[in-house]
Amino acid sequence: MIMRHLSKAVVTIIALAAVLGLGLGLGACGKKKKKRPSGFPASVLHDFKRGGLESSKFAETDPARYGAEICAEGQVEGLAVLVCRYADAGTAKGSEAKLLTYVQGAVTGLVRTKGKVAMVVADPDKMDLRGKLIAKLVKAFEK
Amino acid sequence: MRLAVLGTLTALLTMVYAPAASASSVWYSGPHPIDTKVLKGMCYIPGSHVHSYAPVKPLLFVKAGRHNQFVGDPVEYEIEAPKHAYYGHHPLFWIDKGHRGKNYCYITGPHHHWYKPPKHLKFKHKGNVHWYVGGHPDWYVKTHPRATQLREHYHGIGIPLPHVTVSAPVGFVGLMVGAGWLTGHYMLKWHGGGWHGSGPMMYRWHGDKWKRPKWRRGHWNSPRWRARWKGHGYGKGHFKKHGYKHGYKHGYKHGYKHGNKHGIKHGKRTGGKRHAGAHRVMQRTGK
Repeated sequence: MIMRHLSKAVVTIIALAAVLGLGLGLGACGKKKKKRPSGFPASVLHDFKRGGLESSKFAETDPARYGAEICAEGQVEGLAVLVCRYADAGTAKGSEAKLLTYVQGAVTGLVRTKGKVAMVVADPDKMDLRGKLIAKLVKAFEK
Repeated sequence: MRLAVLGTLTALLTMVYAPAASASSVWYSGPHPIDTKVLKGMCYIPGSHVHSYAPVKPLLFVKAGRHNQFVGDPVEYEIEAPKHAYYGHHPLFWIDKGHRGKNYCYITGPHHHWYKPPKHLKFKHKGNVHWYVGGHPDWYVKTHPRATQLREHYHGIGIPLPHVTVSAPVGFVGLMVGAGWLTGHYMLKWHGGGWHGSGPMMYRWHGDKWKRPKWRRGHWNSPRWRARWKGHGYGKGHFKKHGYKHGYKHGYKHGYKHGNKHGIKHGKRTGGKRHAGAHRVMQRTGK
């Protein structure tokens, strides 16, 4: 008699757990992933955020200096970052020398391109001497 | 006059401050040690980047295009840095884009590098150490005796090295380093013009350099070995009595020389190999 009652209780518990699990699963499926913004530089800043990096508000800067269509600069975790969009990927790659002028005077600097977009990182305040943060930034940008 | 003085001063000032203006002009590729005046440690930035400082020890860098690439042991600068253990010489695949190119690591014995070897190169992983078993190219042999600076650098500094408790895998070519001894179980010997053979070889540290004993232990021509085996084996009678070397030398040279010469001299050369055996010579003279 006791055994029968016990087995009934076990069955009820299993059924409840299954219903709860199903509900949670459906809930998770219902959650929508944040869409990547299409605008510039919002799309690049989104990539930084996704890589776990906090960025300040980016302000537009003179694109002619870097031979670009549009440029914006700001700070990511204390590092000076410039992002520019070019007409095509070839122009972006070819503008490395111009972009490097942004790094002048900094201890560390680099230029990376991804399609039409180029990113310049400079560390004028010796924030990241080991380059661990810069490595994270590069990873987030190139992903 | 004043203008000329001012001009000269301006030019001088420009010369003095020129390096500061182009401070970020030293190119690096991949992780490397930071200038010790700035900070002791490794820079973790992957790929191409610039710094305001020059390579801390030019010896530990290889120039690939405009980039300085670190080829040393990261442990010298940061013990916790990412590292993989290696033993002996191997290609610097991270400079030659994952292939065996023109750059080689000449650090003898156990050491570390930042990078893990690619799967397509012939590295064997044994005892948590990577051993290059792909064989060394010809130019490596020529470069090897001269590329001693890197080895000497690491012999002189006390840095934590990979602890190797296993013997070298089959195919490894290099020196085995023990406490006070270098034992070349897979050692290539230099015979004026090329590296040959392999076998046990014991080296001993003589204060300033490793010295090889006069005879390789167990070598067939070593005095001890000859004394041990004289009169044993290699035929009967003459050979056994006088030892292998003596008998072989006279027997072979004598027979070959006279037989061959005789045959060529007195018989007609009807083709075939120039250095044919005795049987061939007999045939020729018979005609």
